[in-house]
Amino acid sequence: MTEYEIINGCLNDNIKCQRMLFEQYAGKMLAVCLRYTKTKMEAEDVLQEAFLRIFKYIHQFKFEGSFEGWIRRIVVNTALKNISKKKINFSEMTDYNQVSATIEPYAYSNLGEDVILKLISQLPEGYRLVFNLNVIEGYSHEEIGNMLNIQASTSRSQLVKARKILQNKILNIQKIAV
Amino acid sequence: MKMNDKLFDDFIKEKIGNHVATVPVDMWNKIVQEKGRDKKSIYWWQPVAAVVVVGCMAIFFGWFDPFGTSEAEFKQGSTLQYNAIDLNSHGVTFNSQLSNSANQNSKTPENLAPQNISKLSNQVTNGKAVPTTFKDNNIARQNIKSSSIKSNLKATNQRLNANSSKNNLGSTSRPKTWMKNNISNEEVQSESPIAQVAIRPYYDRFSLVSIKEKIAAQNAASNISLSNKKSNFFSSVDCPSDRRSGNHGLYFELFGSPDIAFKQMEYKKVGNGINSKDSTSNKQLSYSLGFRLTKEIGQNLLVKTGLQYAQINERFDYRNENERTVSTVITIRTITNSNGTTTTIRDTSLVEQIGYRVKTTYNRYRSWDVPVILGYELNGEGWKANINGGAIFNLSSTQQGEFLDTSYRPASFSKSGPAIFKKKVGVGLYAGLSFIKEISNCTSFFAEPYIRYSLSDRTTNASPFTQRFHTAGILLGIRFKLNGSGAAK
Repeated sequence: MTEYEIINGCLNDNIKCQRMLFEQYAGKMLAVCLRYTKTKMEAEDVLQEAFLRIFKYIHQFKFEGSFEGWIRRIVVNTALKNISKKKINFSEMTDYNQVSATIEPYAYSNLGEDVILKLISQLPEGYRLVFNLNVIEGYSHEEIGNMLNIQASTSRSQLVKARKILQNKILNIQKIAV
Repeated sequence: MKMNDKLFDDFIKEKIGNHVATVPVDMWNKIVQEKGRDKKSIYWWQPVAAVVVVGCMAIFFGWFDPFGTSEAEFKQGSTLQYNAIDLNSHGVTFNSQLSNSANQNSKTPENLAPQNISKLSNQVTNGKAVPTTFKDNNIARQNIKSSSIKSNLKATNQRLNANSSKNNLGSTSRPKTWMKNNISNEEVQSESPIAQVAIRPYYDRFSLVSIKEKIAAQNAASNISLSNKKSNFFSSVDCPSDRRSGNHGLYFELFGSPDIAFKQMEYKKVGNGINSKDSTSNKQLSYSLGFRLTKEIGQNLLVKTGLQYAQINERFDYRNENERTVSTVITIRTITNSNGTTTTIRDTSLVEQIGYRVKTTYNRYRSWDVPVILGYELNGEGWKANINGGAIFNLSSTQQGEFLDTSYRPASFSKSGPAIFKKKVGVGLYAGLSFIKEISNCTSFFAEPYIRYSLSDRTTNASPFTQRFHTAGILLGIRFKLNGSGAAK
């Protein structure tokens, strides 16, 4: 079945089409949820809630743009809603190393996806959120400011700090590997 | 080359942007369970909420009467009857009879004459005779001590005179006139607390009515025989007792209406000319049913609300010109040759028939709505009219049937399909003109031609076409007055 047919089937509340949609996108969206949550159980809860919202509001998809992008936005918003209950503190971590680690490009090539995901999950909550939204989802700092109710400048500084921490962690891993 | 920030970000995004995680096996079952629970919780509360809202409004207007004035409580079990008045011999004569349910059948209008008032008084005041004096055709002053009441009344004397002469009233041999409200200023003292309490609300109402100048002798004239019949026939039929003497009526209306629906439909993709070619849908007779509570909120102003069910019917005819059916034909032949042997030959062949096929489906569009309408009341001689306008709020909408899709084939939309049609259609505008005819003290018949204009489409954004219905019809119904009996306005 084509994506159009699956979507139309979901519009008609066809359970078979809904399952096909779930099977097609659940893996990717679970990976998205894992980046926003601390535990896998929490990520699964977010994914479940996200798909319920997708099926409920699928009639709002106007067949303009990427359907995967539309689903991803719903998943991210659901994850943010889940996180907002915890009241994240976007405070700055004290970082004595003012200079970002300089790592040769080849050092990154050995890094697996799981390692990178693990490094990201170890970031402080606020840093992780901003990093995910800006670097991976592609939101601007102004958009992130609106979504998280922070200033755009706070978002920028959080991203810089997050990037520095990640780079330092990767460097440490390379040192250990060597 | 060192990794700068942009390269670092791109690297991370490329690595994990499309990462796929392993989904637990039971995740889908959990989603299905949760979906089922959500569906059940959505559908049942809407009609319940509508009933609760309408019930609360009925209780609020019926019991608290925010626009009325409070008066002394009407004594339980007592009723009042205003009987005929003999104009000719006594000028303006007012007889009142206080009766309880045990004495309802004891008096008839024709039998009452002023000379009987004293007897009547005696019945109430344990034997005291009460003198009664009247002025001819003018302000009358009564001192009925026993069955008297306390009130302030105004008379329309000229009208009274004109009408009495016009209608040749007052002959003692004729049935007496029903003069409900043509009582002039009278100060009547009451020594009977029962009488005072019981009769007072009626006089207060009369005073308000006469202030409005709604009571005319023409009513009396036209109601000569009718009122006599009324007083006899309806003496045992009591309207709900009047708890407050405020003149703010509360009515309950039941109605049904045959409707005609006008469909406004347009396909979004018009490349193949489907908008002009679609003639598959044909109007059928539609209908509405419902009830309304009507409350007077001021001078000739009414507010109406309630609940109604509307069903729009449509016939969908689809004719397929290239319908093909294949039939299997078995031919059995028996051949007898010259030897006398018989040979049976079975020949099976397929026959294709090409023709046209007509498919007829009856589409149904159902909706539950709450009307909120303002009305302006006009009064005439023996008739009333309301000019109504307002909004109709849709609570829920369902449909079933078929439509023609953009490939010229029939496609079905289910009763609860969210894909093509909305579950709530939104708001529509309503305008109607109601003609009301009284058939008894608290019952009226009304006919109200109306139009209803829908402000939003019935279809969702995902539908290949936009569709809305505008309806016109004529409400036919019965109206019950819930507070107060006695004379209609």
